[in-house]
This record gives sequence, structure tokens and C-alpha cells, in this order.
Amino acid sequence: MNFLLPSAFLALLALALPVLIHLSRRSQQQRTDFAALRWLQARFRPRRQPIVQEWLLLLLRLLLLTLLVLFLAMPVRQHTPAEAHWLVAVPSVIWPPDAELPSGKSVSRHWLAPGFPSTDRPAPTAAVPVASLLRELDAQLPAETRLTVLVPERLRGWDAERPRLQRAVDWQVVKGQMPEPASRRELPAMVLTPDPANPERARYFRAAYKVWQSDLPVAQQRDAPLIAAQATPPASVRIWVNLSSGKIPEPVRRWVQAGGTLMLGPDAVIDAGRSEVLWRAEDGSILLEQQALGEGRVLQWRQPLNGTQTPQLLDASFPEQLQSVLTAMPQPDTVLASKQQPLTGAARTIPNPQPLQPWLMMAIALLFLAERILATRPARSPPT
Amino acid sequence: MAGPDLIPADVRARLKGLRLVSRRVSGALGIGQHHSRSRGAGMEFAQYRAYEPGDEPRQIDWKLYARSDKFFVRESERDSPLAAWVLLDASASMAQSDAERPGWSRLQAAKAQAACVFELACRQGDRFGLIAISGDRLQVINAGSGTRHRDRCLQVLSTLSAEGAWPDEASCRPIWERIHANDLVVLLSDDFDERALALIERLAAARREVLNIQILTVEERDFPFRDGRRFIDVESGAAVLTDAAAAREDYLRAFAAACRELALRLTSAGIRHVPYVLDEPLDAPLQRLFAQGKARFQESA
Repeated sequence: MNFLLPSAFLALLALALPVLIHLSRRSQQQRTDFAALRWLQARFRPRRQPIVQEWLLLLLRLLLLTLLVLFLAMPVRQHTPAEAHWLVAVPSVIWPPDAELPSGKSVSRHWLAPGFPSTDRPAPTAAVPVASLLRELDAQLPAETRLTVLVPERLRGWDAERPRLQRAVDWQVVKGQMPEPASRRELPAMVLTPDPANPERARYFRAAYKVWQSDLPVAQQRDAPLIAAQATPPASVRIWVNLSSGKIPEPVRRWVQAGGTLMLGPDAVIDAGRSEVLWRAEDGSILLEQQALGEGRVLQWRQPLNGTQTPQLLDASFPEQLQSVLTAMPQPDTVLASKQQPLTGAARTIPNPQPLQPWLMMAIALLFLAERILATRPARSPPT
Repeated sequence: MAGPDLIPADVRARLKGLRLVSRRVSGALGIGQHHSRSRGAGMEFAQYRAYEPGDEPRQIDWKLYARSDKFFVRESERDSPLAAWVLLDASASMAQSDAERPGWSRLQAAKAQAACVFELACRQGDRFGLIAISGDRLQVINAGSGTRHRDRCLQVLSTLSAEGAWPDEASCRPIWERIHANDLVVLLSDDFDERALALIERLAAARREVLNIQILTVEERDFPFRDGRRFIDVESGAAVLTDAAAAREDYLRAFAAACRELALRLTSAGIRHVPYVLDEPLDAPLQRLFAQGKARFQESA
């Protein structure tokens, strides 16, 4: 049995109350009508030891209070399996010889992958968020279970905070190579809509699109695909540079809300939420603003799109800048496993808690009933 | 009807053997079952007197004539009716009852005994009346006879409640106007009030036949308390906070002495005094008071 709120046991101090009540000489305050008062004299017998009245009632009340405190402490029952030892491996590790690994009946081997499949099944190939999975596994396992983790030297899928776990982990760094993440240099899936009134606006973006493909052979380089202003891009395309002016039609809004990234010229009109500055020139003027819209976002130029007024368009770093604002930057997630052993000292969690409060509630109700019956029985004359 | 409620059936059955008897002769005219100062036809022989013209010939004692050759008229005591009064103390202290039996208060017992007295008087054809003394005032029902009068008295009994203290002497004056000499007076009280005792002493001194049933609670007699308590006298409001176990012995001694003293005082005043504790049978004091009369009745019969 475990308690979710152990500090409630402070309330056990309340047990002093019924004891004090029963210690006091209750009947002294009891009024008794007595007409033959003139023959009665006030006498007081010194009492050396405190006299506790009505033991049974006192016991009932103490028990009732104890159960109430237990109830407040939120007891949960938990199935404690036999002591176990989990050996989890990041899917791409090369298994060291068995002699170096913990062995025994209680050791079970699992992949550090969503669902923690057993190693009898093939290793999952998808990239895994290692740090997050470690925290999840730690919270799921009973406190008594030991944990050994096999990690490659270069660990991917890490996040900004070093995991803090409940238990000390046997952290074994072994050989292995985690798959490289998708290259940042990949060509963004982008479509372009030039403004019919100012077709020269589109050339900066066409040029940037060419630059993105500069490491490909010339024969494979392509021009940026064009799309009409009223059309809706195919689902595979997540980026649309739309330079046409005027109000943005509703289907395009819906496409953005579904998760698209829409870049607009300075004279387009769209009604989205609050905008924030995404790119500011050296002199402080706003170049590009970003608005969230559904799951997607709308980027809008605030400067005219020509090289004489906005020199940033002609800058050599423009294609790089454009790519970074159009595509989300990947987080750094690769660490040296030997430097990132998980810390200990996380708050204890109780896996699979089964609340005992309903049973306690019933017991409390029964006890309360018994206490009331005993306290109000006719033989116990009420103070008048 | 209040009657059947006030007197339990077994007590009513035992009442059949009782008679209200006064030790004093009654001066009232009429036909009754009590000794009378007026002589005439009756059961009890009083005297012989010389024949006077106008006496009925059948009253002449012919055997005496045979011996003395003179006419003598045999006279008997004429039985006369009695007026029985119930003085019922309904001051606040009469509301006291035992914790063991909360509904059975002194007042309740007094009402039941008053009802018994009315029942007896009614059966004997005597006149009876009720004076209830409660809340500093008197509630008087004049002496009368018959079942209707009895029911009226019972009805008033059932409305009585205990309150206030015993009134002062001036307020008691109607008692003197109503209760005549040689009447029978039964005081139902706890006898804790000096003014009540003074009143019955003076009544007894003024040729009233006074009986007193002192009604005590079991707690007063036995003092069963063992713990500390605050005892309160409802009439004076005085309170005594005491450890009952420590005070018990002294209380019992003092109370027994007070009871003996009271019995002595009342007896010397010519008052027949019977204590009654609430756990005794209801008719016990009546049996003790009127057993003598019953025996005498059986002898003379």
C-alpha cells in the first residue's frame, strides 16, 4: 500500500482531540434537577490520575479519525511484481557479448522504442525520442525494478534537459550507430505564385530555389514549380510562396490551417491572429512577420519586394535565410552518451495505482454510524 | 377521560379494599358513612334517653321497658358525610423525576394519588374538592360529590403543570375559606417547603384532619450518582457543584435525619405522615393511611 499524499498524516495530531474530550469530566457540566439541595454539600475529591470515561466510544472515535486521515492520505494499492531487471537497448546498438550483460531469470530485454517491445522482435527502425522514452519507462516500472540501458556512443533523440529518474540506471555505452536524421539540405517542397502585375517579384525566390539545388548536377536542377493563385497546392507541398495581391481566398486559408506555410507579398490581405516579427533588418525595419493560423503559419513581407528598396533580397545569404524561415530548424539532439548519464532524484511515481478510497469511505461510514449509535444511546443521558 | 389514565388498573382493583376515614367526627348533615356528632338512627349506639312525646314508637327500646317499666329511646350516632380535600403541591420542584424513569415525575404520582382519593370519596358518597397550588396561585374546585364532580376534578388534574414556588400566606387564604373544621385534608407534596408545612400544621391545629403524603424521588432517597455534577434547585435557582461520590454519605445521613425530624414534627402536630418514593406501588401510602380505618370498619361490621 502506498500513499499519494503522505503529508496528510500530519492530521493524525487530531487524535488528541477525542482523548482530551474523554479526559474532561463531562458529567460535571451535566445539570441535574435536585429539590433536596439543602442537604447536599459541595465536595471535591482530589483526583491523582486522569480518568478516561467511556473507553469503547473513545476507541471508536480514535479509529474513525485514523481512518479519516488514511482517507485523506489517498492510499493506493499496487501490484508489486517479483523483483525484476529490465535491460533496454536503443534499437541501433551492437549487442556486446552476453557475459558483459546482466543475466538471470528476472532479466527481460526490451527495445527502447515506443511500447518497449521485447528484443525477440526485430529492432524498430524509426527514429526514437530516447530521453522521453527513458522517462516514460522509469515512471512505469515499479521502484524495485532495476534498469540497465545500452546506448551507442553518439546518442540521438536527446532533448534539452538531462533526464532525472527515480532510480539509478546502469548506463552502458556500447558500440553502435544511430541513423542520421533527414538532411537539412533537402530541397523544400515549395510552390510559387508570381504576381501577374509585378512578375519581377518572383525572381528573388526563383533564384533562391536554384541556389538550394546548387549541390545537384546542373541537369537535375529544376525551376520552382508554379501554381495559380486560386488553386490549392497538393497535399505533399507544405510551403507556398504566393506573391499575388489582394484578399486571400478561403480555400487557401483552410490549406494553411491544415498545417501549410504561406508566404505573402506586402500587399496581400489576410486576417489571422497576432503577428510577430520574424526577420528584422539591421536598421530595425521589419522585413517579415509571422502569424499563426490553425496548425500552419502565414509569413508576410513588410517591405517592397525589389532589390533597390530591400537590399536583403540581393544579399548572398538570402537563400539560406529564406530556407530557415520557411522550414522549421531541427533541434540539436545528438549527445555523447558517456556524458549524459541520467540523474536520479525524481519524485517517486506509483505505477498502476488502485485507489483504496471507496473501501475506506465505506468503513468510515459504518464506523460513524456505530459511533453515533453508541454516543446517542438512551442510557447515556443527554446533558440537559 | 383522564380517570382511566391516571389510575392504573391494578391500583384501581386494590382501591376496592380502602375507605377514606377521618379520625374526627364530622359535623355535616346528611347521610354518610362517617361518625357524626348528631345522633339519630344509625348503626353505632350512642345513648339512651327518656321518651318524649313525638318519638317514634319503634325507637323505644322495648327490652329495657320490660326491665325498668320506663320508656327509653335508643339513640345511635348518625353517620354523616365527609368533605375530603386534596391539597396538591404543583410548585416547580414537583416536576422532578428520576433519570431512570423520566416520565414519572413527582407531580405525576401526586396526580394519580389525588385521583385515587377522588375515586374513594366518590365511591363513599363523600364530598371532595381539589386545591392545586402552583405558580404562586391557587386553583380551587369546591367540594362536591358525584361522578360528574369527580370527572371535573380529574380534568383539572390533567391540565396541571408544575411551576413557580409555594405562595405566601396571604395567597393561601382561600384555603381557610373553603376547608371547614373536621374536613379531611390530604397534602400531596415533597414537603421541602417550610410554608407548606406551616400551613398544614395550622390546619391541623384548627381541627382539620390533615394527612400528608410526602413524595420523594428515588434519587433523593438513594443518591445513585457517582460522578461530579451540577445540582440545581429549580425553585430557588441555587446550584451546588459537587463530586457526588464524596458528598453521598453526608447527604444520605443529613437527608435521613431531616426525614425523621419531619415525621416527628408532623406526628406531634397530629398529622398523619406517610413518605412515598416514586419506585413504590402507587397505592402504598393510601394503604398505610387508610388500613386502620379499614380494620375498624371490619370490626364494627
